[in-house]
Amino acid sequence: MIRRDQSLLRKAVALNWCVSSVLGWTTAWPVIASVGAGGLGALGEGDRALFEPGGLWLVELLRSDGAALLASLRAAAFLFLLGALLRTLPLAVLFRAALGAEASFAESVVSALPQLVRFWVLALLEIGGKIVIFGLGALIAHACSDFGLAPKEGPLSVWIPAAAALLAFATVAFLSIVLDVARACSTRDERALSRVLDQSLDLAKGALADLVPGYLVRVGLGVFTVAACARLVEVIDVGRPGAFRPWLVGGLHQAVIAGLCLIQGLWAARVTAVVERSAQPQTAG
Amino acid sequence: MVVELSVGILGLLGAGALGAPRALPAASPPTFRLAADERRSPPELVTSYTMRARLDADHHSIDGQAVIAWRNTAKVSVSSLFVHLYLNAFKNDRTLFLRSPFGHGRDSGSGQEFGYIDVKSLKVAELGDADLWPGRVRHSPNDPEDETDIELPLPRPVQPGERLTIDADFTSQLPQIVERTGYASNFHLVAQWFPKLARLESDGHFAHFAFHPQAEFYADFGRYDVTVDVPAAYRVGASGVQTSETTSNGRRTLRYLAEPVHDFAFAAWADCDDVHFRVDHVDVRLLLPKGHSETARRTEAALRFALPYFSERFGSYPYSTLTLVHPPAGAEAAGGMEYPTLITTGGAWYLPYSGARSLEALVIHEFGHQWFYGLLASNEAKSPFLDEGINSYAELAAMDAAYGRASAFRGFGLEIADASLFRAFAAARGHDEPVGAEAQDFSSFRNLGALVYSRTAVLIETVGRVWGQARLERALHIYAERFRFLHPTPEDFLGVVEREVAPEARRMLEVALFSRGTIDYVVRDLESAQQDSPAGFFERDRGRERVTRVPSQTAPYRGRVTVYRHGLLEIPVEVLLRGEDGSQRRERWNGQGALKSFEYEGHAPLASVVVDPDHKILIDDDLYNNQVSAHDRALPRVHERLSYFAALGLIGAAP
Repeated sequence: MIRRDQSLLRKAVALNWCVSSVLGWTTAWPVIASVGAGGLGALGEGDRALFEPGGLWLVELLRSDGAALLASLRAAAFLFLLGALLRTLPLAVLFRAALGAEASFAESVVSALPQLVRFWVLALLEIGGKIVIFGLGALIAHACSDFGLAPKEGPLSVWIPAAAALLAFATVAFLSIVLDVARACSTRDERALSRVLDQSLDLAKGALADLVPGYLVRVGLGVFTVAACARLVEVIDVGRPGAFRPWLVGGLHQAVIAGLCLIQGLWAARVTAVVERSAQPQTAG
Repeated sequence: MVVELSVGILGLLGAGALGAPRALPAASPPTFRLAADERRSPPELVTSYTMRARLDADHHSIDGQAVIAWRNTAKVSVSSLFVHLYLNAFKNDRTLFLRSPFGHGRDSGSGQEFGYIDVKSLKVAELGDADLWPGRVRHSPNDPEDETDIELPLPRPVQPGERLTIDADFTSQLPQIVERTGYASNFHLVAQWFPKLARLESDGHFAHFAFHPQAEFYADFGRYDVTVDVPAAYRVGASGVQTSETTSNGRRTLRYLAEPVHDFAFAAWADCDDVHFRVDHVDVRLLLPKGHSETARRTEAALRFALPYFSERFGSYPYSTLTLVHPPAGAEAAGGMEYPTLITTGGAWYLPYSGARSLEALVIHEFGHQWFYGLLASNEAKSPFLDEGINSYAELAAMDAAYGRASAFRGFGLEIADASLFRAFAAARGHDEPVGAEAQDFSSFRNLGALVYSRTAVLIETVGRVWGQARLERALHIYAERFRFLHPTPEDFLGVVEREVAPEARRMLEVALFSRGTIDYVVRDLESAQQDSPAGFFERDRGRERVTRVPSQTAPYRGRVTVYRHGLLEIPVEVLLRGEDGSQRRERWNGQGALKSFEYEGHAPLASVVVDPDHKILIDDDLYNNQVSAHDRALPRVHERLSYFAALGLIGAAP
């Protein structure tokens, strides 16, 4: 019998939040350093100038330090990939906590470690899958445009790309659902990953009615959180004087990251519950 | 999570861009009025074109007849005429236009189908119906492969004041849209489509030139009476006022009158929306692709602001109509062009939702050309900065008045102004070539764009910020009124600046425009120290005295800062000295000489020095070296914002 301990899930969400924030800062570091080296610190108002209405300094930064920024972005891209792999640890802990198989949070972390390789493979599959789907879509759209296959005028010129984009997003969503089910399955038992993937695909197809509403709620909440925060940040406007503004925005952004991690935790719990439900008849039998 | 983030980004954009744009402010009137005698009345018309154009929409060709009346306005007789046949620029890939590397032109592509104008006859009634066409020089001067600038020797010299009436018969085959003219599917932009006489300058030489991809046009003011005959399903937007319309045998015939103008163009389009509205005394018509309702709304809003704004500043818009054509996808190269009372805009349907104001900027820019090209008909090939440059400044000022600091972009919590972008383009290539060069002398169109458009605009903006916005506004108003319906030269413009702004402003513009003048104020070192009491051995009347230092907390801090001026331009500048106790002092330097030192004395160490703290000298090459601080400041906003976006990306990429 599996116990459910909400405190484990809360701790896993907190870990996810901390790791995401630290990795975010680490990933951005090359770009931050590049901006800092540009001499912005010598300005009386510091980096507030970058956010001032009119964007004089922002455009100046891009013009004069564009090459250095580009180089730092390459370094950041490498760190991003590394960060994406490292972030699988809190994710594995999240799924362990959602399963609730361990008595303590420390045990959940220790139990998650052997899962890391599988989670890396799943993360690479997800990143790769998304790149393939959107990349392929972009290529097809480009080819249609080049060879005059897509209508350029009239309502169809809007609706065909919109439908294609929706199809791509739906495919990506399905991929995400399947891989999250695979994470839950993989956390639950030790079978080979290929068998886990087969099982996840079947399970996701069978439980679409259960999973899709949850997924849509997750997406909707995520979008709303990020968009609402963006609006608030506009109102706070760090381009105006006031040392409290960047702190306030920083707090708000951290709250958004925490919120997204919480949404992810709830989603992990839901997926795990679906996987468990599907496994229960077999166990009883 | 890519889904979430993508939609999230849309949401972010939506915070600034998808919402309804705020209502534009009414154009505020300038602070001056000209005396009546400073304004000019319409000129005597030099030419008159009475033409008939029949569009064959299937073959994209025009069957044309023209009666061209012309008068010798020079003080000397002329023995030749020059006629511009600019459609021949697209006749083959050896013409001056098409053999030029296309990346250097205004557009990066070229059409698949060529175009040309076939003149059949040019008979002059006053010369015994002599046909000038067979005796023409068959190619442009000094260019055997180009047929856009043709000399027509006359049977006898034409005396000053003498009039000629030329009866022309021609066929124009439109190219697939290249630049400014051509067809794409059922969209036709019919421009540079008729034989057009070069302008005769008062000294008796014709201002004639072959059609170069970097150059535009120059012609006399005249009267255009044009009858356009198109298939009945086609809508027509044209220069001038439509005076009649009849339909018979599946054809529509429309007659247009335009005067005083120096060109005539029209669009014929079967499948478009046709929007009408009125701004002040002007009937405005907008032809655009179907379904672009947001484009129509934003175009109208921009124009409702721009028409009174330009009229107040540069003299009233003298015509009763204005037609805007927003070309469809596939005809983008027809966009962003100006003809008398007809302009083309452009942009994809989703552009208005992107947070960028490029549609509004394009509408205002092309509309501004009704003054700086249309009414002030300078030679665009010889002095492109007079039309494109001054008009870019007018666009910048109008966009700023209409949309404030977000005149170029609003989104992601950022506001970018047109002026910031213009400055960046201008600074990037400021040392390369003279701004005031002829259009075809620029090494590339990118350089022409950065220098003629952006750098001229930034130079004029700098004049306003340094010598006074009111003086600049007055100068531009006087320039626009005094040379209305004339053909101003650089000297005309600089003369007005000298009189109305300052001789120093003229000198600055002259050096910047014609001598690659640049400016970069630099401040490097920052030092200040407490002025201790004296110490050491001093020779006194009573002999040598040893003085020991007396520590003091209240002793003042003294220091010195030197500001350097690099480049040829001399522009007055302010220097701000800030103490660590928050005290501030502003010093002025007239900008003459290579450097100037400023003494500092205060109750706290010197914290920072900023040259040009209000960014008046927008043309300054490098803004970073305009300040120096005792201590570098932290960058909390950069840390926070970039970390946040990276974390969002990570959550999105590896859920």
